[in-house]
This record gives sequence, C-alpha cells and structure tokens, in this order.
Amino acid sequence: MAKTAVSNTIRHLRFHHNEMTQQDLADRVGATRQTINAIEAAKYSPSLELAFRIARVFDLKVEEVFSFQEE
Amino acid sequence: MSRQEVYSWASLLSNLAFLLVYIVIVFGIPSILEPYSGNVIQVLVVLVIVDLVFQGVISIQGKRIPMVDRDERDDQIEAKGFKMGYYIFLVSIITLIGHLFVVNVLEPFADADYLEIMKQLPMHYLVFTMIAGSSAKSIVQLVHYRRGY
Repeated sequence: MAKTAVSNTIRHLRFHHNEMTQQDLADRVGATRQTINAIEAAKYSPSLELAFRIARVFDLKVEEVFSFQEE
Repeated sequence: MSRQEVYSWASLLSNLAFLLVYIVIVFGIPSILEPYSGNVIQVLVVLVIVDLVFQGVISIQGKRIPMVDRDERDDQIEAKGFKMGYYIFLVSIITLIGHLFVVNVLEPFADADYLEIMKQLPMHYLVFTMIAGSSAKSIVQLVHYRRGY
C-alpha cells in the first residue's frame, strides 16, 4: 500500500510521553489500535477531528504532529 | 486483527456456508458425494451452527470488553465494501432486466419446458446476487484490512 502525503511524528511523540502504547493513545482519542498503527505508518490519513484529538493528547498543534508533503 | 476484521471474516464464512446449503438444496448433493450424503448434510448443519455460535461469542465478547472497536477508518473501509457490493447488485439487476426482456420476446417461439426454466432462473439469480454482493463486500474489507488502509 502506498504511503499517504501526510506524515507525522506520533511514534516519536509516544516514545517521549512515558513510552505511551498505541493502545493507550487509541483509547484516549477514541480510535482503534490498528488505526493508530496505520496513521503512524502513513498508510492512512486521519480525519481533521482525529488529527486534532491526537495533537491534543500531546499538547501540541496539529501542524506540529502532522505535515503535508505535496508531490 | 481488529474486531471489525473478525466480523468481516465471520460474514464471509456465513455467506459461504449459506451458499453451500443453498446449492445442496437447489441442485442436490453432487454424485461424487452421494455415498456420504448423510455426512454432507450433517457437516453443513454443523457448519451453520458453528458459524452462529462464533458470531454470538464475538458479539458477547465485544460487549464485555470496554474498548473502541470501530472508528472512522472502519467506516471508510466498510464504505468501500458497500461500493463494490452496490456495483455487483447494479450489474446483476441490469442483466436480470435484460434476461426478463429476452424471455418475454422469446415467449411465443420457445417450448414450455425452456420457458419454465427461464422463469425460475431470476429467483436463483437474485439469491446468488445477494450472496455475491455480500461476499464481495466482506472480501473488499478484508483486502483493505490486510493491505493497510
């Protein structure tokens, strides 16, 4: 599966937040662990709402977690 | 494997079990399996019971574990499955309309036995379409879950 144009630093951020697991993050944002895994691997672009939820968990702005690389 | 993926597998297996039962009811047991005809029916009955129990266990377990089991990605994958199912239904309905038209045109010229078969065909065709559409939906979902979406 091709990677999406939206990349992110979630894996890095989780590591620096007490090594938060994908399941912990999924529970906090109301998603499944598989979705968090797909987002981290840039195989799935989250909705704006989910992106905001994820950014809020790390007390960051959306653009600090996600970046868009136009081809 | 996510719970939605398990549901997709269960749905696909249900469809296949239903298809097997339907084929045996409509066409009878294939001649090669006739010596085991009692066993074949038993196997099919067991298959359907196992499937129902399996789906029940998944459903009960899903209610007991307080975790998110469905999110926006599952909805999007399901939408892709529905899209494929819709295409199959659409093509089937169009071909069925064509079939009915041809039967009506041929009615004055065809013999009675042929017409009788042709008039029974749409019912079987619709059942197969239902199974094919539902199976295609499950397969598309499983492909997306396995490949990553």
